[in-house]
Amino acid sequence: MASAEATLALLNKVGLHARPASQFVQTAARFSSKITVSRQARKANAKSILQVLGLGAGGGAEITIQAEGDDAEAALEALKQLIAEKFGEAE
Amino acid sequence: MTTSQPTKSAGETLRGVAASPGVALGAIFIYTPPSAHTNLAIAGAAESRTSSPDAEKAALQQALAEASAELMTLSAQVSQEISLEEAGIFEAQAMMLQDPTLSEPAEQLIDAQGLDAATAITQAAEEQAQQLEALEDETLAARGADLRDALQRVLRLLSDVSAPDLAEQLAAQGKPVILVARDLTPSDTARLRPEQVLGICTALGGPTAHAAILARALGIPAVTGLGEEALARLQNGMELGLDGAQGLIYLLPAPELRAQLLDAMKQGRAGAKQRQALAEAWRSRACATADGHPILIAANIGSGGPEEAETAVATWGAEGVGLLRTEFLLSDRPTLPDEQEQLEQYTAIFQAFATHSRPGAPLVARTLDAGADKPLPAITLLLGGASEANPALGLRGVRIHLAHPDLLRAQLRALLRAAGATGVALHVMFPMIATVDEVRRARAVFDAAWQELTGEGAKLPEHVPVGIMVEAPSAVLLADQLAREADFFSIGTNDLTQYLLAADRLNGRLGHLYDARQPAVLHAIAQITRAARAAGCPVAVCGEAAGDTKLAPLLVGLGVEELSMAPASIPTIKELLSRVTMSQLTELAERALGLTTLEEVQALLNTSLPSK
Repeated sequence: MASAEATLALLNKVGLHARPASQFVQTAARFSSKITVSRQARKANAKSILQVLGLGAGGGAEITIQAEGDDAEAALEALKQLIAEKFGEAE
Repeated sequence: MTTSQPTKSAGETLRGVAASPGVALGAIFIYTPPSAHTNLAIAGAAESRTSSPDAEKAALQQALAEASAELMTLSAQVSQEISLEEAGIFEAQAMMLQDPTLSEPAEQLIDAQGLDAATAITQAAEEQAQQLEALEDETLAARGADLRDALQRVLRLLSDVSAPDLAEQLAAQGKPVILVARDLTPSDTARLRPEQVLGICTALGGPTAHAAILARALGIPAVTGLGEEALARLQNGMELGLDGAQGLIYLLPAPELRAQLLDAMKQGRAGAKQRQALAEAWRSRACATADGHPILIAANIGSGGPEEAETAVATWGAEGVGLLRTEFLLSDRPTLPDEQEQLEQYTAIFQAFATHSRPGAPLVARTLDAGADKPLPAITLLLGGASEANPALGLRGVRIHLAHPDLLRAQLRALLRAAGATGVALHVMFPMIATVDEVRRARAVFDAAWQELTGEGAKLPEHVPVGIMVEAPSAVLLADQLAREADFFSIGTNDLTQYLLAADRLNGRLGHLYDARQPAVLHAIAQITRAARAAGCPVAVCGEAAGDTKLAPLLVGLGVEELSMAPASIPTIKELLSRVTMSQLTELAERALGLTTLEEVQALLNTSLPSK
């Protein structure tokens, strides 16, 4: 069983709120691995919209994504990609 | 609360936020959403127990799945008919209902405490909603409300007998009504139809209220942010007039006003289909008279955020924004936003505008135009909490900024930075200018901000014209001097009319005086354009008159080069102006200036223009 981890800052304006949060969760849900995303002391299940919203991670916030499972690396890559593309938003 | 005496309230005008343009007149229907408690009570018992946890869990799963599916369908519908952004709300609600963080605790409550599905999901949802709202962020608080909205949907599915939802209650009325409520959830609003709802009026609802955005998309006139106190005076069945473009509510309007409202409403509703077709035809066409004189037709926006900017250009064909009202920044907040937050807000709007407009399309931002007459807590704070006896003649517009130049500096810096970042052809204008000295002082703040930003290496637009709103009578008389100080004029006909005729626009009994067709107003406009022309200063109009089919041609005939109006009026005005020549319009203006009474001007405008 593989695991992968990365810490990165959110580049888009609103961070993990509103539509970006939905996109994040929907992307995570595609993978079988267990995925968590944490901000400071708080940890959330990346497949739970309520928990992800509850992180209150705004634009520029630093988050750590951790994936554990057969497709852990792919999951991490997909989420990193989403963040790098700023969730498809202009800002 | 005592019952209001109809005779006292009759003829009264109340002011709220202009949420969705259009006029409506009808009987009030007050909607009170079912509280979670009501739905539970209807479902069987306040906190009912079950003897069959497995059956309850199954029922819960089914209800969650069904509600989720409904929301996804609604999302797709809204995405097609309204906007992607709005559709996102319903999609997020669907995801919340599918979230194990919600359903697992609910199932545990069923197992451990023998609660029934409705009670269990309500408790679980409440807890999650409260957790979201406990976070400091405003956006997250809104998600708490979304979760509750979604919960209502689930509860409705769980009960066999449920309180009729809004759509059902409206259908039961038998005729279209004016819908009045404290607040409307996105779910409630998305399903409203003009066949049932003539207009909407809410106590809450700031500028970016989803109800407002949805109402605009549905073409239903709406006034939001009326305040709870004012709302408490409205009663079921009471006749109410509503002007969505102005944000005004008329309680029990007098016969003359009533007739006007009814007329305007009928025309508005009949015109809706036609307007759609016109909008299609004129979306990408620039406006010009029949003999080829271009007239810039622009949009007045501000309360609807980036979506409104997008819709104004992409749907209604705005060739620019002639008035960006920046007061939206102040609603729903106790203090003024700092430069950074303003920068973010402006950037979002400018970006949306730039994405859909041709390069170089102008966007005119008006610096904060607030005063004691607008119920904005942040401004009340600034005014030191004291109320003014005459807010219309009080500390408002540029006066507040000249008293607090740091605020003006911050706003200008944010506007300039946003324009630099997005490449928008920004223009800036100061409201309520009454003296030459005021323009110079405000301009000095602008120049200092520009220097500062240049020194910081900020990316700035090539050139930002700095103009003024002409609305104070003194500005009319000083027009030639002001034309040398300002880069452009924008005539605020609403306030100009009020001040020139010394008639309170909110006083229902002065309707005939508060009318832009009054000879005095026409003469004032002529004076302004003459002075401006001599100094090479372009003149725009951004008041109601600009979007009026009778007045717009007259304004052009008087020398106005740009008309800025509610976006929905744009296609009609473009089409109308395309059918007349400039010489016809100047002749019309000359004739109008020779008339002496309002009635004469009305008669002239009614008979001499080609009917639509």
